[in-house]
Amino acid sequence: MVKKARSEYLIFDMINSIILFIVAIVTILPFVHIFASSFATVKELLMRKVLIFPTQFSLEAYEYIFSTPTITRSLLSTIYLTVTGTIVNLFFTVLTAYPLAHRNLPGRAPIMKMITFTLMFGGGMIPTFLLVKGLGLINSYWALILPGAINTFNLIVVKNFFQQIPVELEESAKIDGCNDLFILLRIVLPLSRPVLATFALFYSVGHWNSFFDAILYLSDSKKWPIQVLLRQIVILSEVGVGDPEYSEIRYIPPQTVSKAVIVVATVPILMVYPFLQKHFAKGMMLGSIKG
Amino acid sequence: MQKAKFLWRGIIVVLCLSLLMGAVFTGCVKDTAKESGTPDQTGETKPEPLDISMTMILYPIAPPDESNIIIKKVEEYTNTKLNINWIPDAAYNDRITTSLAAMDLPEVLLVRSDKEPVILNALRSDVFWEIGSYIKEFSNLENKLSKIVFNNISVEGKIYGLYRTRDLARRGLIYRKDYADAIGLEEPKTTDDLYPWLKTLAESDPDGNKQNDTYALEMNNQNVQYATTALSMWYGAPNTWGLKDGKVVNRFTTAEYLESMKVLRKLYSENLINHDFPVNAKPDYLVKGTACAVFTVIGNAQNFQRDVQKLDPNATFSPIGFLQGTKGTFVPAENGYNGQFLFPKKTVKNEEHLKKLLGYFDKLLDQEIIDLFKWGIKDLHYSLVDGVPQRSQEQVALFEKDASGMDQLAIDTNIYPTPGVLNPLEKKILDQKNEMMKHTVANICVPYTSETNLERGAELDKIINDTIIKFVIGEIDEEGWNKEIEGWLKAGGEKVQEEYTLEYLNAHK
Repeated sequence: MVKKARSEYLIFDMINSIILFIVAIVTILPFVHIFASSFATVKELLMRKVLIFPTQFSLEAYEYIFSTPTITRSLLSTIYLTVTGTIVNLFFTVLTAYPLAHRNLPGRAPIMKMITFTLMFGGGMIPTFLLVKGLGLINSYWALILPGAINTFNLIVVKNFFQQIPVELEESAKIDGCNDLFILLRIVLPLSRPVLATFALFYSVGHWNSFFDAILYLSDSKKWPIQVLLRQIVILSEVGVGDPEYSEIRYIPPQTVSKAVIVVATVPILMVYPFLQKHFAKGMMLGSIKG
Repeated sequence: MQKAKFLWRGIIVVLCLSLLMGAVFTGCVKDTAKESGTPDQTGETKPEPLDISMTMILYPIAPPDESNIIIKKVEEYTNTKLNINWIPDAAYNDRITTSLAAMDLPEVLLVRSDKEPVILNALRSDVFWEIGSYIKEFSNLENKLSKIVFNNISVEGKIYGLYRTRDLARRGLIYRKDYADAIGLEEPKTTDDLYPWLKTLAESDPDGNKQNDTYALEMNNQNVQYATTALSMWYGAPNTWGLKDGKVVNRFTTAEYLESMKVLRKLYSENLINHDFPVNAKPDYLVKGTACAVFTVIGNAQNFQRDVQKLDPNATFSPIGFLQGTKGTFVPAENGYNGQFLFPKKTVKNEEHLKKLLGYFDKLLDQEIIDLFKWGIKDLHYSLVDGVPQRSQEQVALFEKDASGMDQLAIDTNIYPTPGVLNPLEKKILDQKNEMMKHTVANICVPYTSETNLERGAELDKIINDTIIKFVIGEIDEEGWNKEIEGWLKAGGEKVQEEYTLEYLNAHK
């Protein structure tokens, strides 16, 4: 009886593993393909449909993209934009969410209503453009950071998280002589690491991917983040012969170059995941309140 | 430990605050700098270079830097200071729409989709200068630009912009010359030759694998209607819109158009067109050598040859610009321009300022500048051999580096540049184009607007594209084709034809 149950488990495990393995392969293959293509020669990429390992290793594409300072510059811009933007985002999101998490905050209900209103209705692109222009932020990175400094949805989630933190913790800190700001800094934030890590990730990925805002607000091309260049290169290298633009563009970068730029533009943000991931699952509240 | 942590958080808070203050200050500083940076145009004396702000489409990966030698040369020659806002091709139209809606306009706005409702509305509501009456004051603009194309860019008979010239005739067929040469196949001369010629070409087993697996024609699903314009016109169909019994009709409703589609249908049924074309936006059979021909811009023969020779050094391409049809020889005339420069009244305050800007564009049409955009700088990007510009391999590379995408600034790089030494293919393309010019038929409705077409044109075009695909792959027959025409007329096609007829008759009273 026991044995049979065991073998059933074994079969279940095996099938499970196989299915998950297939899913994993399907997920990873495109990455591998892009990565391998970026190191391949143009000829090989054109002749083979799926490339997992280039037979001829070539750094041509990377030499090409780093031959001018453009890519490096825009990569640095993107890093600056992402770091600054995420700090600003978290700063404002936490500072807004924390008071709103307290039921005794005067005017809490109307403030919440106003905030929720923006969740459903937005100004649209042109009024936002006019506002940014009126504030004199055109051609400044702050045009990409300030209008979206607080994401309403994220704010509400963070607020709800703060609400779950037992009031007793704050009360005990207060009895020990802590004021509100110090409660936030020394009690609430350390307990909120999972949520902070999560939203740091959301916000930073958002900044990393900013494309249209950048084109709209940054007329100085030296300030363009990497995604603008990435898209430019990918679209250019995808231009087909039937397209009327084909004759308009005198020089089309080879496909390997666009793959290499995808790698350069994606790997840095991917590297952030492992560092933040460890914070996600931890049960921070264990044993904080006794009795 | 605790203390250190606390200190750390304190630092972060201070950092954030300082960043914020930075934001506020940079905002202010930028603003004042901008205001003082743009000098008032009125108090200008002659030797002072004219500041011109403009938008421009960016095709290369990144814009040129300020020290770009080509732009420096243009500025020097025209005595201007160009303040160019490069906008990537992919976002250009959206960016222009936003600029227009927000009235955040430069002195010269390059508009690409000039027949879109947003632009037409702006033109009608007097946002831009009407420049038609000033053109005759500038000899280059008056003499070097074409009246036909000015007519094409006009809106309700008024000219608002300066257009960027493009070839009037350029659509045709290009094919693998080496495949044809291998079996000694001559180029087709008439439309009747086309089908057997393509069939022979494909079945000659050009890749030598003893299998009948080469397509005669490569097609994709991107705007089939325009891709096959040349083919349909060889068979006598009008160039999108034509006249029939004194009325404007769409080519879709004509018998000649159906005739040309039957050829494609036959080719498809015999496996001579790639069968995945209804779902494939970017087939690569031609690049891989498993297709023989494609309908495209004939100048592409050059680009194709260059690209395919990387894989197959023996590959050669050749263009076919037109075939003799039963009713005559017809070649589609393009609009003859790509985008126009418009002058917003908001930023160009008075006539004097407008004339200065027009003067700049007039100078762009001087031979020196036309050749600058086409060839670059003498002895750097090209050398003169017996008065003919020539480039070495290094000069080609240097020109690509310095001038890539810069020709977007130019009014003309197609018609007036000093001709260089042409390779046989380039010469053939040029000869074909000259020959094609003799047979061009214009799209008679380019200068006219139909409200229904603005509103539902995309939808109507989709019906035509879908019908072509369905007919070619054999999903519907001739009866089905006629039914689709009925459907198209009912969906608004009839109304568009009426509106265009009215406009046409008004203009030809």
